[in-house]
Amino acid sequence: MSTERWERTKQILEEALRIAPEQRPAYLDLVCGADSELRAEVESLIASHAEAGSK
Amino acid sequence: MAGGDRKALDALLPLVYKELRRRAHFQLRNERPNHTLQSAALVHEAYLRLVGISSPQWESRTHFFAIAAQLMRQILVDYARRHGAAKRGASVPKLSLDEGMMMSRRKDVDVVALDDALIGLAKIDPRQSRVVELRFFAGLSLEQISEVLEIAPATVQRDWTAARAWLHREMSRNSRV
Repeated sequence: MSTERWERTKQILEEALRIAPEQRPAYLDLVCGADSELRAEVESLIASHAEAGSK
Repeated sequence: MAGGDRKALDALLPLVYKELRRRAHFQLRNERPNHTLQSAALVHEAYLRLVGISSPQWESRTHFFAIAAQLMRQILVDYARRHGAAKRGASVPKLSLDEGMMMSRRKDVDVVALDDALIGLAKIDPRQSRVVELRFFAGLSLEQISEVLEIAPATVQRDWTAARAWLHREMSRNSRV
């Protein structure tokens, strides 16, 4: 992954974690658009975040 | 930190390395297999001892911790690779982490797996891998890390959150968590 793309991923992840889980799909629709790879990456990290604990 | 202080600290590097290595190996040797090692505590003890014997005029103790984190990582990974190579995972030192630093619900982290994952992360985001290194190996707070790396606390927080999720996933993938 490129550095720019990873920066973008981090920003989206941070925002997605800030909002309520039920609002996330709509948010990801908005920011990821047709970029399904980006969306899959963020969703995967959200899942790992939950597994690793919320701190 | 003033140039003179940095110089003084750099001159002490071999001593810092020796002190950390001695402490880490002593603890690792005297524990049963699958022991945990509190690396942040070791770094802190080494700092107190070195300040005691050399009384350097360090304005910034965070600079010490920044260097000590790298040394500690190197020492633990070297040790783990040497001693754990034959029996994969059997006698590899695990890091014992504070609750706030947990990678998973388990408290112990395989040092070699963490190092591998960090090398991967550094390729994409070197700064972020430094954040993790400072947190894991020297036990710095997010505020201290922000000071050491001279980046905004919000950036450290974002890096840390993403790094934990990323590392957790990478280490789970390699099924060594």
